[in-house]
Amino acid sequence: MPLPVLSSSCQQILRLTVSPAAAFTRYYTVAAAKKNEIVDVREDRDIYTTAPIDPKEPKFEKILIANRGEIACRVIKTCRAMGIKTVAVHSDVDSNSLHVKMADQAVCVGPAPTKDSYLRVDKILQAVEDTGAQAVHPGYGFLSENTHFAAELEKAGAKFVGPNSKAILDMGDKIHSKKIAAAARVNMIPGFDGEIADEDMCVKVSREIGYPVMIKASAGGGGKGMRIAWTDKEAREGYRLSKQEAASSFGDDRMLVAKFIDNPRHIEMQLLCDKHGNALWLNERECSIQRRNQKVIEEAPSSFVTPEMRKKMGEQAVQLAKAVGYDSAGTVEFLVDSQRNFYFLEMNTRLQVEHPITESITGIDIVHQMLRVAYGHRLTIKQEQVPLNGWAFESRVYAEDPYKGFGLPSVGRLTRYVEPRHLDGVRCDSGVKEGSEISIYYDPLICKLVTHGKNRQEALNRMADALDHYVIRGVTNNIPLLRDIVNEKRFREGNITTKYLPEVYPEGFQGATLNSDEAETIISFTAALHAKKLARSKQVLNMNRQQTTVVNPFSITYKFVVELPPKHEERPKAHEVVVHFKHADPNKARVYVDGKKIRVNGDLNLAHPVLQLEADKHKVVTQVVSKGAGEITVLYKGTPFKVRVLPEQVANFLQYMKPKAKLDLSSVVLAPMPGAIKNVNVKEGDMVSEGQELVIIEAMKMQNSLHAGKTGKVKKVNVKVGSTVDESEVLVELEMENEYLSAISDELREIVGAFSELPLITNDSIKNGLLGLVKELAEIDMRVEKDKDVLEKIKEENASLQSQGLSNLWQNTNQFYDAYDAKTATSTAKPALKDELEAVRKKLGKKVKAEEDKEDEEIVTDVRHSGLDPITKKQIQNPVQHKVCKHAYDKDSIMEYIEQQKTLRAKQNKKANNPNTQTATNKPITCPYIGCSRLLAEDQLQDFPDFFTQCK
Amino acid sequence: MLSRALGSLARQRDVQKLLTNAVRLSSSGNSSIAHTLRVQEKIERTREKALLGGGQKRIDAQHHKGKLTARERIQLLLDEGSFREYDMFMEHTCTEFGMEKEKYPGDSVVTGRGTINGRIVFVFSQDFTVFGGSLSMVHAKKICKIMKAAMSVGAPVIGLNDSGGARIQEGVESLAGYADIFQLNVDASGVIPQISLIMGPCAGGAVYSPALTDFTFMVRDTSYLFITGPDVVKAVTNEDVTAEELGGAKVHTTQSGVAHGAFDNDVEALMNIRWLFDYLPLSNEDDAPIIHADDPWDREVPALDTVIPLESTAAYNMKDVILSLVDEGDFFEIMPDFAKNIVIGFGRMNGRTVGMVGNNPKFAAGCLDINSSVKGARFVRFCDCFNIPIISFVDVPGFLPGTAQEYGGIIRHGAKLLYAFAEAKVPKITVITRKAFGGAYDVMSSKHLNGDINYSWPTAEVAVMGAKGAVSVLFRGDKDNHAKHEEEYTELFSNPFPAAVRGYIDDIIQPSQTRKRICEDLNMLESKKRVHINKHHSNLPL
Repeated sequence: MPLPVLSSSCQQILRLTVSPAAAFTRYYTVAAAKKNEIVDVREDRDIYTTAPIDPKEPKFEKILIANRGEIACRVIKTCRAMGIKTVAVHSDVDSNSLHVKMADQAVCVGPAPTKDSYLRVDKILQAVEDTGAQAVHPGYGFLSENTHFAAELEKAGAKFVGPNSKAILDMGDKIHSKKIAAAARVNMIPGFDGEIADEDMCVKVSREIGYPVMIKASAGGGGKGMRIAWTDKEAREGYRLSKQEAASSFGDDRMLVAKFIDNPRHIEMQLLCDKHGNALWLNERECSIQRRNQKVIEEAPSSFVTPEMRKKMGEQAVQLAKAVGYDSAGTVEFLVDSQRNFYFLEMNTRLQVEHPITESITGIDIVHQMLRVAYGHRLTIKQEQVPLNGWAFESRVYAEDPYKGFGLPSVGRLTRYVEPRHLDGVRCDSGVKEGSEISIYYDPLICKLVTHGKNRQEALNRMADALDHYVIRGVTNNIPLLRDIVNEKRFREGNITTKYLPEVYPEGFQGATLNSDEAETIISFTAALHAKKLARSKQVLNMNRQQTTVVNPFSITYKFVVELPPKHEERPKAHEVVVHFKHADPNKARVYVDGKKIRVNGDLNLAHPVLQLEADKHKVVTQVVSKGAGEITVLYKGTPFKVRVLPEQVANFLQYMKPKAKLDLSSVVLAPMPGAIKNVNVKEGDMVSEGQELVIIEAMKMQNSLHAGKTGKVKKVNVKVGSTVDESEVLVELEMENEYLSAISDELREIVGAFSELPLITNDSIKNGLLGLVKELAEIDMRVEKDKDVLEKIKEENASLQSQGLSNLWQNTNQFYDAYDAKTATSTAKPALKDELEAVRKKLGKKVKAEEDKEDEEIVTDVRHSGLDPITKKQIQNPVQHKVCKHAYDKDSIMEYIEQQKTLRAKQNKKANNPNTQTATNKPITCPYIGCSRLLAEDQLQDFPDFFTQCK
Repeated sequence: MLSRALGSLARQRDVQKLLTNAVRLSSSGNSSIAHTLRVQEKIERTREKALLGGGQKRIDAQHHKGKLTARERIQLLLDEGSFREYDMFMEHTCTEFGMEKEKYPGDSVVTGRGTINGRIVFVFSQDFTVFGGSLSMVHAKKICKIMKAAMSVGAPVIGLNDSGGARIQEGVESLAGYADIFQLNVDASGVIPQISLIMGPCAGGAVYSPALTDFTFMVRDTSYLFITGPDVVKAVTNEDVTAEELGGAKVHTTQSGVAHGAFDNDVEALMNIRWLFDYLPLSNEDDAPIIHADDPWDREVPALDTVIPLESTAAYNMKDVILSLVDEGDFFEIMPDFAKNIVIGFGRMNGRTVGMVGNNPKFAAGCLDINSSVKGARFVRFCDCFNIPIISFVDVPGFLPGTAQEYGGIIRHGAKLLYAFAEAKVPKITVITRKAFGGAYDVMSSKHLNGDINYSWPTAEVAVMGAKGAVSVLFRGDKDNHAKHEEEYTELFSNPFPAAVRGYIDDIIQPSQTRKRICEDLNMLESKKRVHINKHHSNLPL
């Protein structure tokens, strides 16, 4: 690019702006050049008409924004419009992020973890002092409800843009807030006022209130440190996990329990108050679409609220605000039942994530008002002047995999990222741009996609359109789910509750389902795109030799076999598709899907991120995600579809292709998302049962426990507490169970299941005993051969067992053994096997007999033994019992056994020649009963009586 | 298919009718007419027999294994209706062991030519249903014939291998057949692209033909490549090993590096070969093919401005860089699972095929080791053979140190990559994205190895070694001030300027502009002259 001759100083500037150091996009360089001017870069700035910015009004000169991501950007935009200088704070990994580039000044406050940076009160106060900021806007989360911070700030002479500390304290503490709300005559939910001291108390209180109950952190919010419990067991587990989360997220682990209302809606009232006793309500928002108590889609107003109800809610909210002397923007959350009764839930003393939808329908810039009020100005509008214009929706676009529990966090780089800002009525509040990294350290929110329309219908249609045009690559995101909800019948009708997601998607979200028309549409345009791709490959522009054979590839007719991705394992239907281009025009494809003609018109461009096509006059918006050999992945209605487009010859051959065996996921525990390991509950060699908690992983401040997919032995633990893991990393491997064995153990579970139905056996240990026996049997079976007949036999036995008693079991089992015996006798199996079988048989016989005897005497003891000591095989003289597994032994023999094991271990350690080898010294001594892996832990051997109890 | 069957039935009926006429006629003494008709009928019958290969039963067995037959594979590989078969009537010549009674027209291989997306290609496909696809003299002759034909017109050869090995009954003739093929593989090397797709067993001497070709691909679970099978291994070394463990697709794509890729089944494999074929020129006399690109050549890639992590030791994925630069993000990666610290493969820039070579910091810090050097070297030489411009992305902390590497001959193997880049005369464009340290800087298509265009991103660090290593050498006596010296060193060398002021890089460019600049340069380099030095051939450090 030739440069015109310029004066030397001009050249200097040019050199500077193109120098590598100025790695800003043009937009920000221009903005930076005009930093002294007031520029209104607010999202959707035309809507703020109700209380516009008055440039003459006194204001802060400079404020600091103690937050990151979209909310920091959001606040900076209003500051710019008002002519306020801004200071951003950031962690070191955020140095290049959008909010840092948008602010006039930026201060690094520490490393990536929030507790070392964004939550560091001292560092942020230092930044305030260093930059001379007059006030701090805390955004939401982080320090937004931290009264200690607000107080320190006031001490340092800067304003906290938010309510006064007393109000935060009163409302931020959920126990205290309830008392105040009750006194202010706000509707209350039945519950327990007070802190829960421990698990037992949690269970007691929960019982008093009546299940279901909600256990949550007193300092909590946003779904963190919050769990619902339906049973005592869940109450205990919920209490423990929530308490841990609360401690790590808020540094305050006080816990509450409240009644959980069935079929509830979550509706909240936005408030705006000033320091002069004025308070306004800015209409409600409905946030019922939630998963794990985190909001997914919000709307304002609510389709459920009547004008009278709205007024009543608004007035109660204002009563509460006045009762606590509230003086900023805030939100009062209500739970609403099907009878339109509403109950006070909590008050959020901060700017809410979903505030843009209230702005859309009221035309009030809430951040602007917060800054004014904090400065000391009065609210300029009266309640009657608060409008309710049209309808607005907010979709929270998260870096989450919606196919796993409606959203498990994912991470990655936004390799391609285009927001649909160019569409009518669309607002995008985001803090990222193309190339931004979504890391494990912070909230996985990518963008708040807001659409506004004159009515609910229009706003929803715009949302669907906006989601279709939203280009996100490189990061798994929840657009498929959002897009599906937006067109879902119940949601369209406004028939929603906070249980909407599990009710509508009982199996979990599995992607958009296609009707036959939609399927044909996808087939038609993917085939057209593929034909275009082939035609292009046929046209080599520089083929110097063999030119004579070249024909216009767009005048050729293409024939394909097209398969949509399979649902539920079955082989997908192969559609016969013919494509030709009308008048050899690459943008006019005529597609015949199984003989049905579909006209596909529009720019069939394989490079554009978003394609706007027409299929038989119907508008189709789609995105080409990737192309491979014989396949093309497109986004349609938000969901990715990997469509196979193969040459017609393939049709006859597909049937011969064998499906590849999938990795047996039940024998490994994979990290469902990237994160840090919080807790590992098992070690190698442990026996675990199906559903047992193995590992707790923490990501984005949420704890998730991972469970064993099947019963088995832990083969390998690949992680330690504190290590960070990637998605799908193998954390724990369970012993690979032989297919046959697992089939048998399934049968076995059925047997045990059947037993639990029978009145005869109430005893867990008997059940366990049988479990162990059948398992042994299964192992023996394996040693013989994989014998289908035996399996069949067991199945038959089971069928009959379902309806029969224990004595029948004995009889049947005997028969079964006899049959089996006969079989093995004639087979080539080892002679030892017979003995083993005999032993098993004896054991079972004895066990059942013992059980029967006990039943006869109507004495149920909790001892599990056959009268014989497992080590010496002699009658037990001085019985002791394992506390946990209830196995009984002779006291002397067990002590001897332990001593023996200890010496054996010591020998082995010596052999290992390294006394520090952890694995060697930690090799556990376990209960000598076959199949039992309960520990006879060393340290506990000191106080023997505690470990073993004397038997009756 | 059905129509063809009906057609042949109809033909048969006609022939029958004619035959009856002929019989009538012959009785009246006109025997030459009958003869003509008999010959016609025989041709028809033989053709039908050839199409059935080893018979329906064996075809079913092949299908049952999840494999397609030789002809079905050709049908899928080539454009519909483009296949022209050669030597369908050739038969084996063996007379021992009763072989003379068992003959199949065409023997155990199907050969011919056709087109892939309109471009000529020669194909042979071994037929497992005939004598287990074993190689007879006739089998070898058929393959040699099409290879010679391919060389004379300048068109690639694709071999679909599915063979039990040598035709033992034929003895040394079969071995001679192998050698004839090897000789032609070598003659054709560098003249036409040769691709092998292993779709069944391939053992013993047979493995060397694929090994001599440019690319070898495999089908998972149904294909094996080994010198000796599990039985022989057991007998000789007493090792217990399955065919899959010994020479399955997983072994050869991750450990041995023998295969360049693997696919799940026959259909997928053949579709991918078609895709690869689109990137390749027909012969060494053709330029890298250019097709119309929808992707704008001057597209900015803002995501690249932040792809390099702020922390200079943090990893990133070089494949992300390549994917965001090439047309439409389409990239055919070669050896994706082997020596992942170097990424190689074909993409298009403004429609033109280019070969991409990039150190990948995501794996082993992107260092060069034995495997990655050999992987890169062979790819660079392929591109150089067939006029495909090479674009290199450099982020290399050096060669991997250690006894394992030294004992393994990293000097010998690293030299291959150096040799390949130095020897390559196709357009060479290099982008240093971050680290370019030590000898590895020289190796990675540097200016000094006749790089045509060498760029660096602002994040580049070109130096003999990293700050820590350098300071520990330079200031061995001054341990206390290491931190200070490191800072000094970083200030001096951890930036692109030392290389830029000496002209070792042509420009420091914004990452987002990389695509635009490369596309411009490729246009400029289109007319680059190849200067040949007169020699028999080079002597690269094998």
